[in-house]
Amino acid sequence: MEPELTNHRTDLTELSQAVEQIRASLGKIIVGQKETIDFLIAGLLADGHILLEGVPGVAKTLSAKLVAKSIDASFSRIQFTPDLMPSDVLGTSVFDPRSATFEYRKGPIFGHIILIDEINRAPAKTQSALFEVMEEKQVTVDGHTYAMEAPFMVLATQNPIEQEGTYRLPEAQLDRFLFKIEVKYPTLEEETTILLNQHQQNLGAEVKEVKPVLSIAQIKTCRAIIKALHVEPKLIEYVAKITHETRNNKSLYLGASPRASLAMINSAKAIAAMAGRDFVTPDDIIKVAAPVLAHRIMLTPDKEMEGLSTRDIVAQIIQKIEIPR
Amino acid sequence: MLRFSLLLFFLCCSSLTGSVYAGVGQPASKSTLPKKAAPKKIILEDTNSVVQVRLFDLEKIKAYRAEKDFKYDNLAPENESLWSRFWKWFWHLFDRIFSSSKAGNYFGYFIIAVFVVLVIFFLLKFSGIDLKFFASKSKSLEVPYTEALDNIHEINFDHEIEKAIASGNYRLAIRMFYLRTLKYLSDTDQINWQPEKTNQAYIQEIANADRKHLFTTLTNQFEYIWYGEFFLEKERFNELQTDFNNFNRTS
Repeated sequence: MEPELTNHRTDLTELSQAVEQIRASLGKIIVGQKETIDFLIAGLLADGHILLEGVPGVAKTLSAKLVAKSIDASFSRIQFTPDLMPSDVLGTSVFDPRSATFEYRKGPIFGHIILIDEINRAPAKTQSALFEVMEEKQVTVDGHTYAMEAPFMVLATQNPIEQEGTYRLPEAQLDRFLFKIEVKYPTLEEETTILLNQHQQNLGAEVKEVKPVLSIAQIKTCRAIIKALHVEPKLIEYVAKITHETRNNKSLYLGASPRASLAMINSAKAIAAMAGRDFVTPDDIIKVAAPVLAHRIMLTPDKEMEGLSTRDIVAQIIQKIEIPR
Repeated sequence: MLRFSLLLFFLCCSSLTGSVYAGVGQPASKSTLPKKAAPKKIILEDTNSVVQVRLFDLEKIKAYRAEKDFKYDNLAPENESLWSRFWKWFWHLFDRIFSSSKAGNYFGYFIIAVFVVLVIFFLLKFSGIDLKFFASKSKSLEVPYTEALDNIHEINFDHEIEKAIASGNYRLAIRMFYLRTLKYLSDTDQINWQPEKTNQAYIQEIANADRKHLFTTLTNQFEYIWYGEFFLEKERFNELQTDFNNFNRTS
């Protein structure tokens, strides 16, 4: 039944192959973390930026680096520190004595895949430098606007806010991340496998061996396919209803923005495409709801003191709303 | 003694002052004034000028009298509205309470009442009771939702399916078949029907492996047709109809 129905619509063969290749490539090095890898791929396909959060040592940076290496595109890494300045990220105008003019030197943000490590170690002033480039994919310096080349994707890692030497990211910046993926500790079996692999193999060499499996042109094609996927109108209403509920929920101080609704639709499309479908189902929406919404909403102080998390509230909201069927 | 002396002093002073001021502007009595010779009166007469008698213009006086501004009669106050009378009464009451000798007591009661309300508020707040309970009802879930989920236990499936087939809407007919299947699974306790559960959640609830496999296939078919909006021909619909009927017949 399924092949019969899918044959005469969108061709997802190329996309499925690319996804499988990235999964296989990352799977050789990263043990477990399948959901993290899937969300990283979904973020790449949905043209979004991703924030990876987890305690030190759970392979956040490694995952991000491997995804970047799987793509045949320029890659740069910025280590965020407390004394980092906006010009260290965006670039600055330098005086050239030979021509007696100021010349703009591009910062490390200019690239395709940007890994910002420990993003929440820099203060809000430096974070603000990312607002324009993350949303509008352009940088304005000294009155000149420089457009970023597509695909442009920010992969940021951060430690949980409770940890020493970290700042809370501004809400406006958090809203610009498509997903916040929480990287958990591995299970006992997974940790044993990690140790065995490390003991028997040379992991550093393995990482170097990772070859790009997706070109820029392929990424652009996949993104175009995903944008054109079908979403039943009632599912769009379903997404709107979830977002709307975050704005009226008594446990929340700050609800999600319309950008969050768009992010849910786009990422649900990517998840559907990765599952080999050219249409979205309620399961796709539910799967992306927490990674899309949890970092965009804020708990009221009393709920925070009770130990609830924004993910708990998202789960409660989803349980309240009927599935369109 | 000192007080008495002071009082006496003030009384004396006041009586003296009174007598001094009493002499100003008042004719002195005959007994007190010295007798003098009466002065000779000199009257100067104006014999040259002619006196012209001028009279008031009666017409103008009449006109002035008719003018509203020159009428000083006590006019009756205009009828006050109920609203203005209420406020007048309120402010009168307010003045009476707070300007009377008992105002201090009322103010004290008011402070006590505010204190009691604050204590209750903080007790409720710290005991974790939701104070928004007293507020107006949230409109959070009142989002217009054009086609809310049908209650599967109230749908006349045979009628709805017949209607959909008759109108050539096979997509809707498949939806009805799927909902009927969910009702069947719920009635036979194979799933726990909840409107917020997804199809995949129902698949996981089915314990029997064969039934689970069959239901997974039916679910995929439904999702492609309903969410994917794939076109469904009559022949294919007939096959699917048979699949759904077979599933619902077996247990």
